[in-house]
Amino acid sequence: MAPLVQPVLAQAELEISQPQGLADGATIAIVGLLIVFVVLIFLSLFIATLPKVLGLLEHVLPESEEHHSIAHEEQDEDAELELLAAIGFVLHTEFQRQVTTGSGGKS
Amino acid sequence: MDIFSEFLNTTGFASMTLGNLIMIVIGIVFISLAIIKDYEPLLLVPIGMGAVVGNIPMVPGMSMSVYDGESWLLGDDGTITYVAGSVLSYLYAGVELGIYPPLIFLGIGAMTDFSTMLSNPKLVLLGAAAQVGVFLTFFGAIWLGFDFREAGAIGIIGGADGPTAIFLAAKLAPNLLGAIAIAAYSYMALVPVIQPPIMKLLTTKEERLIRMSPPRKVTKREKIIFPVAAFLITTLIAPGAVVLLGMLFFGNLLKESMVTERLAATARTSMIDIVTILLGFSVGASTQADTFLTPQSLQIFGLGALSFAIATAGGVLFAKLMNLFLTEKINPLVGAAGVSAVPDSARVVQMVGQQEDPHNFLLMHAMAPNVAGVVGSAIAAGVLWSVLT
Repeated sequence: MAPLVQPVLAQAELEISQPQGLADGATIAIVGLLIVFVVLIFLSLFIATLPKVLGLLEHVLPESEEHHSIAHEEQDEDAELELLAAIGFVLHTEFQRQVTTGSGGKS
Repeated sequence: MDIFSEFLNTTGFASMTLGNLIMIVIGIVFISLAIIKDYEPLLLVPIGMGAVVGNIPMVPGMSMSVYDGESWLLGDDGTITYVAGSVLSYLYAGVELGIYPPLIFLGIGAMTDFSTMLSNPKLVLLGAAAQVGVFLTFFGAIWLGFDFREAGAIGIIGGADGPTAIFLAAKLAPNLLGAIAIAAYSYMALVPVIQPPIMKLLTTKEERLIRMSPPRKVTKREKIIFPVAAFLITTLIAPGAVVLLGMLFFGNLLKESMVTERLAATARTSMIDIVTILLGFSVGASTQADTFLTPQSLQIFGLGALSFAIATAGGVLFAKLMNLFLTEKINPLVGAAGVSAVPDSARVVQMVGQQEDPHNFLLMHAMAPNVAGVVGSAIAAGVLWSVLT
């Protein structure tokens, strides 16, 4: 008798464990995604509040010029000059193209 | 003659199997794709070469493979002999022990500009929405019969973050590390192929034409305070992510503080390049035929593709949901950039948006959920690691 019962019980255990595994997996997935959302919502709220807090702090501790901020601004100025050069090149190329097209059309 | 025949038996030709040959060909294919098609060359060249090296048949009795770690042998006379591990096993230790991925995150933090995210904080939620790809794939892997730890390691492919995928796979399912790493990096290279059809399917022409207002200028103080505060907020709620996020925000602080420019420059150039070489090569060498050429690997590749698709859809649909409540609408295409393949998915958003309107510049807006996705996928990995360990 015992050998006939054991395989049936083993099969029944398997049939229970698969849905249980799926249920546990679904729970972990939902809770995990909720945790990610909660963390990033808090982060988003902090980022949204930060400028207002710093605005209040500006009255007490104004943002001052320091040596590393000057170096950073110099880098920004260089980047702006490069950008202006690129824009100038594009405009020049476009003007050249229009002049060439205009002279071709006349003939 | 006996010595010569003994020598012949120790050559790779004598012990080459079909599996070794297939893996060597796969390694050469990766190298070719990287060089000819420019598919993620910084990763696929080291991984491909590592696969070729790792699949040369080993000489029995010699420590040569990635898996030939150091050991202590007990002799019949009671003496203990130390046997050193192979060079590859020591290089691979950085993967096994989870050392390389946090160092890569340090470099990523030192090259990331969070100002687009700081200028429009609601776009951070799109990075969260894209992580639905991680958790749905986790569930799908369980449904296919993987155990919880393996499913967690497979699910993180949907985070579209190579170092995170390798970190979590090394912790939860080292036996699947090779397949997971190759799936993750292959699909990251295929982002320009996978994402656009899904983005167009889930959005209308009117939605794709939405223009967003230019981001505001972010002050230096915000950029300096952000990494420290963000680290505290994220890891106090989800401590499992402390290693990855700690290094990410540390790198960013090195960059934004402006007083450690040398360290930031080293982190984002030499250091990250060195670690990338060692990581890629040792992961490639670990993809040996008996662990990689299995039916499970095919399932992992299938689930990986699904995870990217779900993550893209999740980001786009969440952007549409947010638009129901916002007066200043978000272009839903930007939601696809929540898939943290930085900056490829942001470039895809720009490209798809410009197909509708060549004067609609979405790239900077897309960078916000793109970098938020990096944080989100690290949090997802931390959650899975802490729950499934």
